[in-house]
Amino acid sequence: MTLKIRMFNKASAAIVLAMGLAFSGASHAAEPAAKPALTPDQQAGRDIAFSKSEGNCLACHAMAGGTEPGNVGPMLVAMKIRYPDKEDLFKVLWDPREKFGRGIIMPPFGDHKILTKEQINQVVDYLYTL
Amino acid sequence: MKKFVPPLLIAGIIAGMGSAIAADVKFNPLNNPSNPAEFAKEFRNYFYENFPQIKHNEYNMGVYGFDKDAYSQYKNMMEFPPQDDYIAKGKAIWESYKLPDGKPLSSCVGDAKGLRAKYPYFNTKDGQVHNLELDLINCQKNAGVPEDKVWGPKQGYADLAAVSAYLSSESNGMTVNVTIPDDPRATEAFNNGKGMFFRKTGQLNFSCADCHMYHATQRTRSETMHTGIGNTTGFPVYRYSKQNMITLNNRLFGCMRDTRTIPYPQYSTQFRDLEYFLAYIDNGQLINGPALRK
Repeated sequence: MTLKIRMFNKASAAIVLAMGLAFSGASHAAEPAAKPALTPDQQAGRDIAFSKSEGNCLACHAMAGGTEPGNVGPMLVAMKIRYPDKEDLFKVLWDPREKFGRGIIMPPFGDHKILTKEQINQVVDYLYTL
Repeated sequence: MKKFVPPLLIAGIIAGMGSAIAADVKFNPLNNPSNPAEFAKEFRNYFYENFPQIKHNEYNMGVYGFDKDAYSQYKNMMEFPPQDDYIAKGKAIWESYKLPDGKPLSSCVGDAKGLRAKYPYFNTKDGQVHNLELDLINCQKNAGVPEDKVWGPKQGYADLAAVSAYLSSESNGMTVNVTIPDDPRATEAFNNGKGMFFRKTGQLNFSCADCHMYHATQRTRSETMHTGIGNTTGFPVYRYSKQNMITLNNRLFGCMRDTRTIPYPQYSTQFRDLEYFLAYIDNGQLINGPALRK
């Protein structure tokens, strides 16, 4: 089981690295692009993701704008490209065991009622801006 | 043309580094169910092979044995060791305390020197794992100390923790030497403790192993997670964040509660078996309590 997690970590790191290279040209051309302001739902999702008592995504994942992130999970970046179907990202937050096996360290936020369906949707909305 | 390093590339490199330190050697907790010695060997090897940066004799320092930043903070905190007050208080209590029959606690559990190093142990008479603090509490109960004067998890805890700190200091430098007698109940206690370590629990669905084995040395926020070896040698520990002396039983209870479950009662078989398992893993390490932790 742990092997699976490690493979996932490495695979996602490689994907992110590759994307970093692939998009280097594009982001150069677009610089400096002002980030559009977050919608209320996205902002609510950001608050949940950064809060220690709610989502606490920062405990394990590095995210843009987050200070002192953990490094247990992969960096949350380019989420729209990694999860083209929003529903897939929602499912991972709801219960990551379905995709990554039951040894995964990430808590099942929906299945264990840590966050509500509405809150998870807000977090997904925010992750899509990263 | 000006060199431009895109933020995504940096992100990729950081993410890659994060996963590079994840554990690489496989381990199956279901191996050797009837052979604790062999199991403990495999368990320790997992750490030795995955974390060669940690020196064998520094596992008993927890995170300070391998994290330089944490170690420098530790050095600062140790300039005036806060444990010393507790040791002095514990010594005074140990020497003045009288059971209802007028005898001291040493009449029940033995002399202070080296006492802590005998715990935890499996008693083949009652088939239970014995924990130092619970034995002191049982001394009081058996001698007829009234219920509200017994050193329970709430009332009298400060006295108990201080005595525990003193006793720990009296075993300082001795080696952890936990044995598993040839009794199927002892092996069962060890395996039960192992189950406590590897079983996922609570709303957050964490096992001890999740953080302190498979993701040991990685960070949650800015905290580096220590390993599954050397957890028992320093107890009781003075926790800077709590400004208090914390017994091992108390710490394990709090840890389980933090996974958002209803923990087993303090000093219950489950926590004593977990202590037995952890201490057996620590065999050969030096006792260095009462230690200091953040």
